[in-house]
Amino acid sequence: MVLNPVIILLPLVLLVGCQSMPQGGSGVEVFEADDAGQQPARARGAEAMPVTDDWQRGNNSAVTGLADAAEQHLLEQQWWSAVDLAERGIRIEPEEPRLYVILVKAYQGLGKPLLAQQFARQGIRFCSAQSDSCGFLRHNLTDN
Amino acid sequence: MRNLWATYKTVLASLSWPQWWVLLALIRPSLYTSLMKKSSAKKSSPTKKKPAKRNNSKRKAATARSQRSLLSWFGSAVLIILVGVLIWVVYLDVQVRSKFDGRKWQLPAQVYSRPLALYRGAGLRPEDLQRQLQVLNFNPVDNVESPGQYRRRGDQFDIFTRGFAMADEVEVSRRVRLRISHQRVARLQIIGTESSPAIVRLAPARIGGIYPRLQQDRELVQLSEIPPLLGEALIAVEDHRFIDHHGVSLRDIARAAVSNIRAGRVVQGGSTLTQQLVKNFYLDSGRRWSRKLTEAVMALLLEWHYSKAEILETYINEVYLGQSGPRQIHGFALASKHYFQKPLHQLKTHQIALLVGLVKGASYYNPWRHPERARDRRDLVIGVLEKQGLIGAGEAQASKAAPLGVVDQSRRRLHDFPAFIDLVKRQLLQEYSADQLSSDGLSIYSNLSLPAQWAAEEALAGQLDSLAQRHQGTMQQVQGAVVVASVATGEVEAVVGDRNVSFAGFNRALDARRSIGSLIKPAVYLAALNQGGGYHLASMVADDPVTVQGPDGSLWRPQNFDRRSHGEVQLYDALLNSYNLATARLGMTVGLDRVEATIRDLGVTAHIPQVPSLLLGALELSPIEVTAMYQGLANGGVVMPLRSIRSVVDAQGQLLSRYRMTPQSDLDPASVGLVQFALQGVAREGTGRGLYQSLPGSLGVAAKTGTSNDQRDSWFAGFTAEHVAVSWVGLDDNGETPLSGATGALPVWRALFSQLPTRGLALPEEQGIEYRWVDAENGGISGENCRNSRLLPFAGDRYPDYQSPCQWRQNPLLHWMQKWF
Repeated sequence: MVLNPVIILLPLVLLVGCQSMPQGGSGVEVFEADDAGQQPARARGAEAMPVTDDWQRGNNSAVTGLADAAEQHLLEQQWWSAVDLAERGIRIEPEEPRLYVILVKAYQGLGKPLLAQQFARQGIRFCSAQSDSCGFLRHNLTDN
Repeated sequence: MRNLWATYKTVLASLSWPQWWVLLALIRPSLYTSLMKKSSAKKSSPTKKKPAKRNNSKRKAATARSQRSLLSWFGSAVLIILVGVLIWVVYLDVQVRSKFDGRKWQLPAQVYSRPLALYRGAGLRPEDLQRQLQVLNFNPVDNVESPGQYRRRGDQFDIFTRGFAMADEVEVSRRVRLRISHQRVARLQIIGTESSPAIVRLAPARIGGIYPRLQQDRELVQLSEIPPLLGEALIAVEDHRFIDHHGVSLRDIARAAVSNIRAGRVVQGGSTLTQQLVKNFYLDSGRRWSRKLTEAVMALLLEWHYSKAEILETYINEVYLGQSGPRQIHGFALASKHYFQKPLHQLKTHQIALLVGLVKGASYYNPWRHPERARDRRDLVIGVLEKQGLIGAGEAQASKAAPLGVVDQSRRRLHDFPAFIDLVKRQLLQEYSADQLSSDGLSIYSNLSLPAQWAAEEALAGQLDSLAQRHQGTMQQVQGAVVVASVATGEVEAVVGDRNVSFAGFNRALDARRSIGSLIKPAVYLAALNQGGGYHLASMVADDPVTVQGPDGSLWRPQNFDRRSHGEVQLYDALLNSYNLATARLGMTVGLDRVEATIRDLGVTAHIPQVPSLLLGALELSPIEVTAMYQGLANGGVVMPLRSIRSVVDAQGQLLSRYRMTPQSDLDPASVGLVQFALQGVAREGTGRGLYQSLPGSLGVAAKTGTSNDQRDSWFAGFTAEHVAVSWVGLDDNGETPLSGATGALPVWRALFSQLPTRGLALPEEQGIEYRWVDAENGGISGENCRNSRLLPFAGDRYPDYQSPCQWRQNPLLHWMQKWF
């Protein structure tokens, strides 16, 4: 028995129809369907100029080093030193949530909860994935 | 009179016991004489009644009395003069000691750039790194062996950095090798150390100062820090008997007098180094005899109180050695950097000789303006050094053969960013007095980024010159301003306030408050999109004629730039195309109070008039105020007050102030994200699309054009993920121009970002934002494969509540297969 091609294609067509309905989320490739030539930058972290070699956003050893040192200062309750190092890190990579966690903790240690909340608000913007840092920032934002 | 009494009291209070003794010894006879005179007068009055026979003897007695009286008066006059002289000398002595023992000079605050951070991924162009190394006086060499040297091979640099301390941060000297690729540091390697830090910083560059009224600038140096040859040369040339005399050399004065009489004009001076110091340090430059006398007495007093070493050290720090614009260069330490961009201890013999030669007349022997004169003078000094045995014949010959060695004139004014220094000064004046800033020797570490400042200067100057060439008449006087700041930190990285970038006059970046035109519109749309506004980017609004009656009965009837109405349009399109009618209608619906509150939430502190025309930009702001407003938009609604300063350190190196990030946010981040998205559309396909004529297509930018009434002001404000910048172009007399935001200020912004490495802006992904396909015509929910559909972001549950009919753009199966395979 030969299968009618229409019968085979029908479910596929229905599937496609469902798939083409409105959707959200990241990784969007098309800005305007009629104007494929004018598309904005694709995703967070898009670079003005392509970066070659071994540097990758989010894996910046300069930021990691500063954050490590700042966290050491937090442990020693040297709040201002921690703030200064975290700010240096933000100048390099403003989208690293870990740096905002350090600022939140430091300003909480300094008895400045409002400032801590503002940094939590700024840092949470860069939380696209679940992580300890983002969990901490969300927790502090809702707590205040 | 009060001043005179105060001076008198000061003089008396400062008298030492020998001075009191001399003073009393002088005063007592004077009093005695005066008393005797009165007594004599009393005794002599009865004698007038003696008989006439005693006339002769009376006449003799009268003569004797007259002579005695004359002598007495003469003696009194001499004594009074002596007392006066003594008081004058004592007064001068007080003057000499009080200034020499106290703070000798007003030390201007020194302003530094930010240290250049080198790490993998840092945005940097090879030419900017090389220029920064030149500003920091690094020497290009073939073999990098010591701090302050570098070697460049194409895009690869070997640098031996110098260690430095900045506030409480210390950076050690390191040898690094780095490669720059696509305007980023692609590789960074630390050579010769086991623990390799991931970040290395170049020392901050001195970019200017905050000077006292006379604009004197100097760097203090101790005698032990100067090259011995400098002190010896100075003495040999200016005052070879300095060690022997007591402040004044009669022999030299006589010699100079003979020479001058022979020449018939002043060809030689007899002043000692001490007298020169007195003249520069205490007195004016007049040639009156009284001043010369004062100078001589003060020189004697100075030598009486202080050692030769102290006097020489003060002279070396005091002497005037040149001019840099309005700034006076005093002292050998600063002169060394001014002429050679080197510290004193690195100077060679011929360079020392040139500096010593300049003492005679820094303007007359200016090595840039009069190189031949300067060379002759330098060679003369070298000859003196050889004659005095301070250098050998071989060295003298080699030194005379050497070029002047002064830095290139084009590099001389690199450290001159008047508009930025102006901002620094104004921000400091909120905490420090003007006197502290100009005299306490503070070190100010600023946020100025040299690459950003250079890019901003070149963009503004270049584009305005180009505009002036293309247009006639008043456009020859077209002016402009640029401000660049960091999105995340609010740190101001560059300020240009004049087409002539080094002109320290009216600072348009801070003081030109002009109507901002359509730059206000993002705030109007943000007020509508914010929670409670009930709008989304696909909401429809009528771009039809609007009439609003003011409280005084006047009617406000705005028009579109193209004088046309566009019917029902989506909010996204209205902002994209900067439609005035739609914006006015939207703003009036949302309410002026909410629009004003949103502008305030974006950090604007200026007066905001609550009038309908506010909706189209009847708000006067300066470029830096607009930058602050757009920083809030760029940073997801988190406003970071703009700061030009990082820290302030006193003359002893103690940290006085540090200026940290202080975020403030009252705006809904998701709503700000929607506005960011629309502004990216403005840059891609709206009124700002001219940006991509020269910017790379991969660079995500959000931006807005602004044009005020009658095209008096041309604005462009925009941001990437890293930088927010505003450019303004217009005429100082607020005259009409042929420019719109897109034709005046946009090219400046574009030229700036063609040179400035930055990170592109991504599509907003704030929490609560969802992307949905909507119909571009009616704003209804659509699908990816539907004709005329487009993807827009929506915040929370605010999205179209009706479905638009879908006409497939291509066969759904084909579309599906293309998508998956």
